[in-house]
Amino acid sequence: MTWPATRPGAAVRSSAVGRSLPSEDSAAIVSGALEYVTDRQVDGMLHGAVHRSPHPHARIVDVDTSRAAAEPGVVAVLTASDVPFNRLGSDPHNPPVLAGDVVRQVGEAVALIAAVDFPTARRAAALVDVTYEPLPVVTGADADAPTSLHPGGNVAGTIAFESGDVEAALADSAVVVDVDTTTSAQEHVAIETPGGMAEWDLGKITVWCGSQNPGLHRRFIAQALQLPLDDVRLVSNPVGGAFGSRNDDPAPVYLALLAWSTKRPIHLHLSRTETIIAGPKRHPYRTRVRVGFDRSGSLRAIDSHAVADTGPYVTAGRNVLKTSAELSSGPYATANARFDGTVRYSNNANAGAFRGFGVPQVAFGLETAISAAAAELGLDPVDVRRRNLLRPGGRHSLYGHTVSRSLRALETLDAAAAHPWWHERDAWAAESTPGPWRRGTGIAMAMKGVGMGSGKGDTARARLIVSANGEVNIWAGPNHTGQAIATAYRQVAADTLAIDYDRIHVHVGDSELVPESGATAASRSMYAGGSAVQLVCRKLRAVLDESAVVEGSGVSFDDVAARLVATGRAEYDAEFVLPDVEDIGRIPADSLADYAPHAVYGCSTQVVRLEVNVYTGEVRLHGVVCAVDAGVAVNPGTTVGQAEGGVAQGIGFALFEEYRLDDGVPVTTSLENYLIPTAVDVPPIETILVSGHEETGPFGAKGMSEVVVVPTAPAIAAAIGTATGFWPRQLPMTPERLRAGLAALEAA
Amino acid sequence: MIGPTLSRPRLVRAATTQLADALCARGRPVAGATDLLIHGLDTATPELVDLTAMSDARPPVEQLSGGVTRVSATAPISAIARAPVPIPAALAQAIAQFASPQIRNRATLGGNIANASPAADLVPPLVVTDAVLGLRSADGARSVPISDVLAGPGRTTLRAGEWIDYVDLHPVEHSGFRKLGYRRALAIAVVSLAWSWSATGTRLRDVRLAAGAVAPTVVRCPHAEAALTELTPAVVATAATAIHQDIAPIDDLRAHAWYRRDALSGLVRELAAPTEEQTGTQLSERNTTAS
Repeated sequence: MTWPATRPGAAVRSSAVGRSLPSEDSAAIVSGALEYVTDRQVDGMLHGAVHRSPHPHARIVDVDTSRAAAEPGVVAVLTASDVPFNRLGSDPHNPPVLAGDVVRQVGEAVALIAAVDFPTARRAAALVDVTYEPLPVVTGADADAPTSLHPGGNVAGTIAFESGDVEAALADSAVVVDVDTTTSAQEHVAIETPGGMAEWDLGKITVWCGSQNPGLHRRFIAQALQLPLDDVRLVSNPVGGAFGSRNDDPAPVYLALLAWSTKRPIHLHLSRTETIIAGPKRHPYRTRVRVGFDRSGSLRAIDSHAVADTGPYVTAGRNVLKTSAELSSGPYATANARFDGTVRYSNNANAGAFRGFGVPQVAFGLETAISAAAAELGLDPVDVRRRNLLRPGGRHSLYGHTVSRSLRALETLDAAAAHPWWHERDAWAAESTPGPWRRGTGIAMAMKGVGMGSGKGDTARARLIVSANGEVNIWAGPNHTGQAIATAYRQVAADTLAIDYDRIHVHVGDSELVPESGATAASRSMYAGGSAVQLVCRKLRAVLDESAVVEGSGVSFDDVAARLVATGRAEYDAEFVLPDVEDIGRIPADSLADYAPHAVYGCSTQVVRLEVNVYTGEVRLHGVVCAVDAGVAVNPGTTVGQAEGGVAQGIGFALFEEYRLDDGVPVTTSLENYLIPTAVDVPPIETILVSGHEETGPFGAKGMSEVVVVPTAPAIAAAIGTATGFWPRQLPMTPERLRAGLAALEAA
Repeated sequence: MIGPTLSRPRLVRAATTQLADALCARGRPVAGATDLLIHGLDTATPELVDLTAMSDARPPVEQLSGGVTRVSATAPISAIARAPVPIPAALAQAIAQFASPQIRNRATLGGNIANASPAADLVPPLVVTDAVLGLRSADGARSVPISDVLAGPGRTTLRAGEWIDYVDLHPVEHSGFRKLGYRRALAIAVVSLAWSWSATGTRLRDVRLAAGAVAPTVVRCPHAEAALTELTPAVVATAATAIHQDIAPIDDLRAHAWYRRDALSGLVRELAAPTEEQTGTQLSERNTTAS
């Protein structure tokens, strides 16, 4: 890739931005040459293993490590009493590093082993003798639990908010649809399971382990080991996927603890079964949604009531519920909206952050209700949505805050509905052959905030150093967890600096070098991290402008670079703080951070065409249209990749994936019985990037990688409903559940 | 790491001898070994004898006199599917719906039979073609009908040291196989159905039906066979109900018994309206033409 060595800043915008430049790692990734953090090894390193609870809820009466410690080759056996500060976070409801008095889920870590090789470590882990006294098991987020998992009961958090008068508006509505939906605990299934390496050297700990939030993991480790923050370094690349699972994953802390304790390099790599049993899940929800419409299809009210199961501890649960509340009214405008949500403890799997972060669950209920209402009103589901959409610069239905002018919900709806799969749907359905297969097409929408929201001080930072030989190095965050964000940062830098792309090098994921930039989460990396990169590059560009480094001026970047280094003007820092909403609407000013409304939202509308076998309940997908409002796509190729990956994960959520437990004991413990879609289960996906521009984002970009996971399930449900007359309310929509629904219809 | 030793006999005679020796020490024959990773290995197993490396093994498929097709039990099933000698449609379709292309390059018919899963994809087609297994051991060779070999989940009547050399399939006029799995590759059957018959107009003769994952072994379905005299919707519907007398499904992780009964009835009902599943078309091929 070559550009002219120097160009005037203003005239060359978008030479790199807007192009599908490949990730620097792509050749190594596809050829298998890339060394992931779990591939890392050094001579003489030890190997770790974890002893985990077989009980969903039990008191630990005694832990006897003598047999494990006596095993030849075992170097350390660590239990709760060996952890200087035994909690992952500052809230007493946060999980312990290692369970001490009580275990609250199957798979909870009780002891860590370090041994000379992995088989020995694993054998020793099985030799840790823990005496448990089983306690009553809280099997779900029901109010009538047999016991409290924490002092004060099983409610981890609540949110209630109302605008207008929902009950009066519903009473007044010509049509009220009431749906009661449930969504499952979904696995992230990042291809690389958690793990990596850690080394203790000269009083400092270095951990190589995947992380979506290196700064947070660094604080967890410093707190657990009671070390100064500066003595902890986390290197979190390259990593094989995340999707939310590496937000508060304890693996970096296990590694640090083992290396600190043994003073030797340690390697740990969890198995898939361990990851499934002990790792976080998407929060399972029960969501009851009522929507009211007048006869013409105007939305009068949305009433959403959600109960989430967060498992045994607080990790992301309260924030997930907060996001559910904000997006419970979707991309729709109505004067009357209410959300009432509770997140509860149970002895099921810990639920945490997962792409979409509380939105897929409530959106499934809302979109299903709107599709059902359109059917009941006899109106086109696109027309009903179009009529009630939130407009750019409009006011949010629940909180009344103003949303950004970049909102392109309408354009995504129009783009998806303009696709032949949508407008030819009746003709396609009519072509159905005799036999069991029925054809249907469905549509659904979603909106998702970009960044952590207002009042949170959400900040990303970038550091830039010019070297004397004319190279520019940039250290920026959020981190890369599989989406090639460093490439997009580089594109932003190249166009802001207007210098040769090949001179620019972007580094992410190393807490020693990258300034604190928060989490790779909330669809914020491109928007916030890209903005920080743009800001730091503007500082250098201003200096270059002073020096008249422009094409044809005769002053080259090389000359100026050497001079900047010599005069101590080669280093720049910048930070980008997420803008708060312009007008906070009905939110009390002192509670802004509690609700954390967003100014900037991304949108997606999806159309699904499929066939249902009414004899067996099987579904075969024929295609998905995914229209996305991402503002300006800095790298269209990776943006489409995010969209396609989101749809595939949405298909899994819709049709396949369900982590199941039996009285708190997991039963879907491997990828043989926890099914995710394979390549042949994912149909052709046509992604449409809708034209837009977010003025506060880098070159007009905003986040999009979560919103694309949301509409898929309700669009599939709507297509099934259209095809068969049975409108699913429970995810995943397995053949057995569809047959049960169809059989009930046949009987009626 | 402690594990079993693996021997890969290069000659049929050596395989038989080695298996006899190994079995005395609780060794285990494998032919593809694609289930070992899933089920894990008994650490007490000292030796695996791999039956897929024999240079003098028979060709994947041979045509014998009397219309009998002899299929190798130790060749990869992808080689059986590609062989120049045609095989009954039911078996070809079952191979096409089996696991994934990579696994089909390793898995064998003998392995699928000996593994004795009630959900084995390749067994129902053998049942509806009256397959006879050619077995070998140090004591000699013998022939046993497929139905006499299946004893229960994970259990066969194969004797210690005995291995499956080939499978003879009897000619059938029409046959087919339909698998219902929860995804379109790499999924265990929730129910499956194989059929064969001869037809005169709409009248059917010599009807054979075999169902998978609805009983401790793959089972013939005599009640449904008796009812299935014609491919008319009414008659097929009767057979779809009658088949419940032939099966004894259980609730497990994948499905409740009611759904297995219901879905198997659905597969029988499909016989009246051939679908792309029955012609072996996979979604991957369909996808490329979807527009």
